[in-house]
Amino acid sequence: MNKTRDRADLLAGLLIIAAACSMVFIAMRAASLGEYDDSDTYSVKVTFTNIGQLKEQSPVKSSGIIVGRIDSLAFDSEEFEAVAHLELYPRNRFPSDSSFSIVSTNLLGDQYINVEAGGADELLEDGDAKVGNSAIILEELISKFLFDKAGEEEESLL
Amino acid sequence: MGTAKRQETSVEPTAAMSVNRRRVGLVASIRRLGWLLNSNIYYAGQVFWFFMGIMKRTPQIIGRFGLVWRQIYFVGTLSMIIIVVSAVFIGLVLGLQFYTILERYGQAQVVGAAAAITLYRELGPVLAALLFIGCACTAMTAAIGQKRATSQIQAMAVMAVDPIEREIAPRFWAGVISLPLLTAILMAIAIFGTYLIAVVHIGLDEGFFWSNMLRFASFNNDVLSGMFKSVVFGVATSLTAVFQGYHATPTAEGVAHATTKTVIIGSLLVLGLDFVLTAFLF
Repeated sequence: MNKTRDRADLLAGLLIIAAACSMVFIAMRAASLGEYDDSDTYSVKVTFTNIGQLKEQSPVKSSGIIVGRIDSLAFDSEEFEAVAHLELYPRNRFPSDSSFSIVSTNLLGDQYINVEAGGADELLEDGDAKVGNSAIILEELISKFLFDKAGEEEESLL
Repeated sequence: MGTAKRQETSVEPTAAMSVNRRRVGLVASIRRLGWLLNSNIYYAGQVFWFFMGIMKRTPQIIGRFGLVWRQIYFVGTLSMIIIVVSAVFIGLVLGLQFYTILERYGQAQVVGAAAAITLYRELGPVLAALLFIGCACTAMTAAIGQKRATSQIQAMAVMAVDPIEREIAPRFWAGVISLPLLTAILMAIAIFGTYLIAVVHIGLDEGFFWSNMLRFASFNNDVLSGMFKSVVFGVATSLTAVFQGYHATPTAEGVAHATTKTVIIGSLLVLGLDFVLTAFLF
């Protein structure tokens, strides 16, 4: 009786160990734990006239490497602009005249903020505000192109 | 109801009669509706007080954790084999299905991520709970129902041993603890199954498979909310199982009936709760 009880206890422990191993496997390889600690990042406020399809938690990249995340997006009702609060990882410091622009991974893909490093000696500090280049809206490009074409044709007719 | 039927067969229906009969029928059906409501409220109250009874004995149960530990073996470890085998097949099927769909859009590299998110959010908790009902909850109901049918529960009460503390609460807590553990195992093994089909069999790139999974599936959002679901399912299914067993009609047929009811009520509860939780969580 005691032997079977011992065996049952052992196998119950085995279940818990197996479950713990599964969770560790999932946490390590199959799902991302938070990549960074909020307290360690420094935040930069960037204003855009149009943010396109940008989402909160979208990556901020420089040369294709993720250097931060978008913490929040808001609309500034006094300036009528979109404001993106970026959380940048402290290991990547950028010159204070770096430019921020919204670019797409591909035509249908997600958009992210690209940081182009500038040449200034001073570095971007926590709480800095910058003006960014807005997203390229495909419809605007097409309508601009069409109006230009129409304008040219009108000129040639005259 | 009975009077209405008798009138129909014995007397030729006249206009006045039919009005009268309709009134009887109406009253009867309203009465039936009320009875349905009352009995359901009574049933819900019974389940609630049963649950409170288990909760009240939780401190004693923590003191005698060996009882729960032994039940974890019966409820959890013995369900592990079916969970593991099913998980492999679930993973294989998910990988294959997502591959055939995503291939058409040229997005085959996200097969792993898609399968992982589906597993963490929905399939993992729900399938684990359904398998758990079929494997462990039925056993719980049958074991308790059997004790009821052979008067062992009454015998315990006679010996001043609290049957809820000794038999019901350990099983309930073992179920609540085991289901999330089984869910975690099912998720991990199913991911492995998807890996087998997508990388080993179809030949997708291994790097893309894992990195996309890391990119799209988030531990805090997807995995933890899935685990939260499975805790809720654990409470619902275990409570159903022990309640049905404890209140089984004390005959062999009654135990069989209680086991069937456990499966029906448990499965519907899991699926219904899944919808509610998904609506609230995501």
